[in-house]
Amino acid sequence: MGREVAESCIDGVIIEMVSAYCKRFYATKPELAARRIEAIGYQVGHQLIERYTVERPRFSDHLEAIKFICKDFWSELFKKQIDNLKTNHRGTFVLQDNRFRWLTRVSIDPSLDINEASLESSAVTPENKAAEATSMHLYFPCGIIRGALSNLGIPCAVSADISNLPACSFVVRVKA
Amino acid sequence: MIVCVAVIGHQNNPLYLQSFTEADDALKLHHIVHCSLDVVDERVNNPKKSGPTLNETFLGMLYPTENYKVYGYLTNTKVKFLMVTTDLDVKDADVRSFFRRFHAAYVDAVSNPFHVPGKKITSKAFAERVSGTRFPSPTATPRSSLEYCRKHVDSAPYKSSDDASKVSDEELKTWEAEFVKVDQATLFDVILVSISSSSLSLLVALTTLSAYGIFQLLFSEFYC
Repeated sequence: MGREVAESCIDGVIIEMVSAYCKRFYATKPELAARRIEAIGYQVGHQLIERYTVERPRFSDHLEAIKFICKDFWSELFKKQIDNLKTNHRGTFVLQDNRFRWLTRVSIDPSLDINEASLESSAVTPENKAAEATSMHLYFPCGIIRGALSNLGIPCAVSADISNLPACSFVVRVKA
Repeated sequence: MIVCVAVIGHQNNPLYLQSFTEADDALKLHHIVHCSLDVVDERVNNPKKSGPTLNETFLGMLYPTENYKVYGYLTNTKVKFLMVTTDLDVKDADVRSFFRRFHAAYVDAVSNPFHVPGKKITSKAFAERVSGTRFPSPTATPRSSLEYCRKHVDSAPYKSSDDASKVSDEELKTWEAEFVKVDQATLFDVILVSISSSSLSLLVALTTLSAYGIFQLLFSEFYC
């Protein structure tokens, strides 16, 4: 039921939200910006999981819930499933998405920052800046996963790993 | 007649409690809801049978008191819906469909960005939707619809010969005249049920026309 919105509008809103929090609201405090973005993601995940688990039988254990996140939840959000799920069976899960939708537009070529590199100190390399800027965009999906899992009764901590773009891994550590 | 619905959060905190009685026993209903929470926990932690019903959301009847029956429903997010009803013979399917609609209304209420999870649901739209899903209260009316259908089915064999059919048409007419001479509330309930069941078109036409008082005039058209 209801009306539909173009996907590019959603992508645009999310990119602008990250940019607004990083450059305007908390320009001098990137940690606070990151926390706020993650909190927004938490609330969104909380409400979305309520909607997507209607008419489903309850999950018997944590692995079932994580599999639901990988398959049904991810396909509702991004129209694809998580490509790879790894676990150590002791509360840590790694969800790998080989082409994460919200990172497909992020440039991975550090040579574009050559001008800034010459002006900055040697401690901040172009790769670092690019990685930092990209990681800001990942707090929102980490928050979504964390909100979804906590509403299912699984308190956890979620972090993201972008060693090879546009593939992206989310590491979920379930709190005992 | 559903007298009370409740939404309880996962820490057994009440999120929404609404009773629909004019009498003053709202507190008694709250007490009944509170006692049912123990039964919910018991059902979830000690499942009686394994297999397909192990992790279902619908928990079934929790316990009957002298006047009321309590039904429970547990969502994936550990939110419990409880429903107290005074009907003595509610069908399982009706309760399930009520809980399905209630769940949909709850999801919409919780998706409100201004709603704080864990606090009470203060949405008026949710309250209106919940009051709306109680109707049609499905116990009194399907019986009368069933009687109506049975009467017509019984009279169908008589339509073979002309004389016999004329007689039975008369009987049918008088029976139907009596059938729709009920009070307005029941009449409108029957209309709602027939519209919602959407398979008794004759019943719909009949009751609507009776409501407008031109039943006698158009009755013959249905049978020619």
